[in-house]
Amino acid sequence: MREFWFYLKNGIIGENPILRLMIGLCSVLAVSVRVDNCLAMGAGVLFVLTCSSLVISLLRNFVPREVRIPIFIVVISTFTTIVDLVMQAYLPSLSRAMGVFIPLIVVNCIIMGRAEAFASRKPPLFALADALGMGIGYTLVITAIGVVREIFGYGELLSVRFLPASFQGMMFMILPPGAFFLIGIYIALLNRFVGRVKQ
Amino acid sequence: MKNIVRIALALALVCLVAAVSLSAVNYLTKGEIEHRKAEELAESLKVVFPAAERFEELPVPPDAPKREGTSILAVYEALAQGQRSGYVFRVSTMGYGGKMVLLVGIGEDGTLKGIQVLEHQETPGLGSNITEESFRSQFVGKSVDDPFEAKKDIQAITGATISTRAVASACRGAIAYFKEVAKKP
Repeated sequence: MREFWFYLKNGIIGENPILRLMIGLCSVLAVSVRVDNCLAMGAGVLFVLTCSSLVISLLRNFVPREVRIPIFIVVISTFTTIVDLVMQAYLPSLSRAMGVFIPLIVVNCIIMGRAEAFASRKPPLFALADALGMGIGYTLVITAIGVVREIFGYGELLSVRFLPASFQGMMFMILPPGAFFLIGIYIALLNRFVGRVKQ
Repeated sequence: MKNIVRIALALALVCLVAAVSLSAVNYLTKGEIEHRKAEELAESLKVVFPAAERFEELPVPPDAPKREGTSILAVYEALAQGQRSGYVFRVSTMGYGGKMVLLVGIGEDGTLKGIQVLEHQETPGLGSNITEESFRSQFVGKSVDDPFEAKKDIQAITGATISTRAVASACRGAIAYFKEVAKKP
């Protein structure tokens, strides 16, 4: 059980996918302009990551090495398609806002990376802990980026006016470089207050 | 040789399970998705032509004019008190991120009644603002004889000129169809 918590925490802080491993940045740059998009993307990634890590870990002794990548992709894309269809059916407005980025969870390197590096080598319980940690870590960081981008880009928070109406909005924050800029600041803060990555 | 068979079987088995579970989810959500789409279309028709009470779909002739990469997907006759008061066109065009589908409502008198974006793949936060009321409202009341050019008579969205142009070209496509075909008795 101690190990379970270790892997969970590892995904959130120690090896945070965005700030430490720096993988899966594409979706972060594209989607993090509004907080509700971030939460939906985070939930989507968390669900796909948890389900596929668990399944891949359960299958790890059955999957032949030669075809492991095709099998991972089939498992991941199955769960992604489920998320896509369920969102289209029950959350149509969010589904429209996310557009192509939900199907693109398939090729999000966090999920593929964790399947290859972790879930296919460890028992299901640890794979679950790792997936939850990574998913929560992703959601927390993308939301932290989204809050700042929405406030300074649109002057709104969760689509409700936050700054006075005279605030023009910073174009820079709406465009992808705004996310890069914030990722840099967050990495600096993490290094300063939590500690550097050990070489 | 035995190894190859084992590999192929493993992959086939995983694919089979995936296919079965996807069909199950598709079966469960298909009705809901179609229902939502139909509801959305009915609502959108109302938005682009508030004065109409009823809409009737008209057949689109296969030789419908195509302009600047836009094509007419469907035409709806807008009826008010049993009389035709205009048309709603379902137009597809190319945006920045891919295909875009819009509804354009044009009254008999030659004014735009409204536009609505049904499908798009524009950048979230930039091009996706074409769906905002503040952008769409500028099209209401424009005449079919207006030029419909971004940065001239159409206010472009900052950072999304191509998306703006795509919407304007969809309007021009609908207007061309309106003038050439729909006006014939």
